[in-house]
Amino acid sequence: MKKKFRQPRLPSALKKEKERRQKEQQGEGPFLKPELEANITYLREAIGHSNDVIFREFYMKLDQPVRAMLVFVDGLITKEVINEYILHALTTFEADAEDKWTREREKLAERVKDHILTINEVSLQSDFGQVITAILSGETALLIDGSDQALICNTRGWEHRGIEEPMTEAAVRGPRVGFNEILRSNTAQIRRSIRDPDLRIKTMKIGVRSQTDVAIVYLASIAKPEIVTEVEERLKKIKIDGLLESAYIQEYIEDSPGSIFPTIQVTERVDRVVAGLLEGKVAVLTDNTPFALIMPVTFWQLYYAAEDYYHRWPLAILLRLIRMIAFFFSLYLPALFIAFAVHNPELIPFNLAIKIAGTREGIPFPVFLEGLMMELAIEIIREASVRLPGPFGQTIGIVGGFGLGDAAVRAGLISPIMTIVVALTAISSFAAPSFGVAITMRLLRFPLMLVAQISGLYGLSIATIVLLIHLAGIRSFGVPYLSPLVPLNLSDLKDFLVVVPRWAMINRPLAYEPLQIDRGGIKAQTWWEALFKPPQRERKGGRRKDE
Amino acid sequence: MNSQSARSLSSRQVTLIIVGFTIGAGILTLPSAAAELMGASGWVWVLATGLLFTGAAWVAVKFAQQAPGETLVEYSQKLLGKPLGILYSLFFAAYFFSFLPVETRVLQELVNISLLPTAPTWFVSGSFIFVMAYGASRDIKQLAQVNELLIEIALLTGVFVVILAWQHFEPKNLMPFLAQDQLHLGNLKVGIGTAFAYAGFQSINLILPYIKQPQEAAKATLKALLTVVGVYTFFTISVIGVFGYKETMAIAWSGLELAKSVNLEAIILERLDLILLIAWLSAIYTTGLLTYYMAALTLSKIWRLPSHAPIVWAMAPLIYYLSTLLKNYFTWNEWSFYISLLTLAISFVFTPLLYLLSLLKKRGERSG
Repeated sequence: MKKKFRQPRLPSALKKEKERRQKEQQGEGPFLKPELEANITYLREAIGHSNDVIFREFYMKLDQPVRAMLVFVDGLITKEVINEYILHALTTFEADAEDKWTREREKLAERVKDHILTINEVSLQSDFGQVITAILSGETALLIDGSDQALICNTRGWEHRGIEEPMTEAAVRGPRVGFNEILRSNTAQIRRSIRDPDLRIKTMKIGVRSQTDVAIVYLASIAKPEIVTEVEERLKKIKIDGLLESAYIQEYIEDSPGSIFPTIQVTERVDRVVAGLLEGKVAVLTDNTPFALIMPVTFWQLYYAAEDYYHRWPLAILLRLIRMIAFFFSLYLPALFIAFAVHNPELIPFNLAIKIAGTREGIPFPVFLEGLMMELAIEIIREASVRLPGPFGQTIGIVGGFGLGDAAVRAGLISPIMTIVVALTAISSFAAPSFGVAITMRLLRFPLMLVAQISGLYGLSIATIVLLIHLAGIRSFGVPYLSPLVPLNLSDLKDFLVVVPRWAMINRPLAYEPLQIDRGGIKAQTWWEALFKPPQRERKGGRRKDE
Repeated sequence: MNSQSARSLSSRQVTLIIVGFTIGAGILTLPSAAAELMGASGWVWVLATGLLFTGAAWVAVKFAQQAPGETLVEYSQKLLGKPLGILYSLFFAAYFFSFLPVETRVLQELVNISLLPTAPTWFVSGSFIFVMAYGASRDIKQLAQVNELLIEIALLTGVFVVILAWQHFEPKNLMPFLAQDQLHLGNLKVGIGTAFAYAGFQSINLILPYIKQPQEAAKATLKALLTVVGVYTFFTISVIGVFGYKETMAIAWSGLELAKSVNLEAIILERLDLILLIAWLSAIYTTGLLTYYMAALTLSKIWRLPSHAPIVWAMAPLIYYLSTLLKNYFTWNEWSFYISLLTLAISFVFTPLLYLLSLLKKRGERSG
């Protein structure tokens, strides 16, 4: 049967063969050969040693029976699709006797794709490397005897977690959907929120061994092209064997790798990514993780919650202010307390100073050590409650927090005021909406406490200046980290400590230099002008700016 | 060097750089000097000299704008010839450098008398010089941002505290206006000494190549000088108005005394003088940071070094050594008197002369 099929080689086939050899020498190949047996041997050699790789042989009833082979990985595919739309379609297809399918071998694969397969996404591939990657990603390769091209059918489908409410960024108001571990489902969620032809989703594979899909998402008519190309360039430079989480990418592409401040925002909220895209940012989504990366980002933005924009603006302003105070507390409160208690008790009102001194009487440790021990205890409790399964975690929090604190105070080891300070600090650090920046503040708190013990308020001011110099030097993809405060940007202050009403947010943040500045709202140059033109009055004119 | 030579400073940042440079150690002693010179009308002296310096600043900007793409180091060599130009640049660097020991020493003194009575002097001076060097080794863009934030905080806090102190303000302390028996304008040493408080706008000759719109530099500089004059005058009026001129003359740190006089029941902090001190610490820091940067930048330009950072760190021990030489109030007053002399010479003699020279040269080029 096989012999019959072999025909004398045409000159065009010889030419093709030559081209293939040339390409192989250039390191692009190896490529598939027209002989099915050779291809199968090659594939078996490459991936056939694992039991989950299935090789399914069958015959197609064309004008002559043609041998074919399906290769796929069990568990990564949808069985129904392979059974019904590939196997069933191919084996039951009956060609007309006059139609000489087998005569033009080169076109055979193409014709099978066009006339027989009832699969929506099929492509032709002749490079073995690509074919193997496709098989390992859950696609099915169809090899037909006599054809030097494999048909790659999209049959992906595997067990996965559904769309759930994000665990790390809960919100009172706002959509309750978060990303999951499937890249396609994540990009689809973004697509569902922005039905704009300018929404670009570019995927690439990173990781020599893991071949993880990574998608760059941006709005082409808004995002600054330099930022997009910069992100792409940096992604292309990543040399790694396996990519397990977007944190790997983050470490490779962030601007100040030595700094403890994150220059890339991490989120699992869909709305957050969408809001970022609308501001002209670029998002990077990674397969197998719900955590998306948003860049560029400013320091303050790490303290904004997605929810800020879903509440009415007076409430949003209050939330922002509270969070800024929490930021200040989580960084400075223990240090300030130490500085006042050790070096400058004359700064606090007399009665309060007396109270503090009174509660500290008989405490066997210096203030710094007392604070350090309590902070360490809190950190350990926090870490332990994260590791323990749900209900136990809360128990640990209560036993550790209440029990330890109360016992330590009763035993006279710790002053009650220090307990208040440490508890307030811990609670404040939970108020940070971004996990990354909360850790940064926790880390910075300890050196500041030490500085306060050694040199009081003077040391704290000096340390703050050092911190400020460091922060002023950080850029996130070209955007100053402390923007819009320094360099001062009046237009961007509309979304800083104060959140102006949505209709007054006429411009996108200028810090990211978007291609299109106005959000397509009412006509006004600045947000304070817009504040005096409420939307109702404007609508009478009946025209939007972009119309 | 590319990132450095890019034009990145906005006019606002230029204004704040000059304000940050100018307001520093000088402000604390200015009211007492003014009271010594003109009695109850001391603020007139501050205002008048301030306006004079504003004029000088205008000349300095005009001179700088003759060559918007070059710093003083390059342009002076073109004007005066290489040896003289280098000599003048070195003189300029030394001028900027001379501020540093004084600022360090004044800061250390104030920290030691108020915030940290027990800390050894080497610790306070050393840590301050280290932080200055850390900042000064960065590029101008970063410096401008740090300066922007610090000087704004310092000014706002300062003005806030001074306004609180107005509860003790008595208008009669400012009377009589320009009484003959209170005028001691012949006291040259004190008069010249006040120039120390106005030094700073000379830096425009160095930073012009880094400004986004050099044509707006004149406006930015004038704004800065007027801000400084406004703050100084307001401060002097407040101090003399609260304490009366006789007491003002006797007070070494008038600002701190002013803040100490404030009583606020509602505020959680008992003493406002320390708050003012911390605000003023950032003002003195910006002065130190900018003079440090300018001195190192000038030297690095003279020697055509790729970066100014090594010079910054090399200068640090020298600054520490010099600051220890300033033993007490009188020695550093002496030192700041010489800086004042230099300030006067640069502002009213050298810069105008160079400006004239550059004008003549341009005219010569045009006719020739």
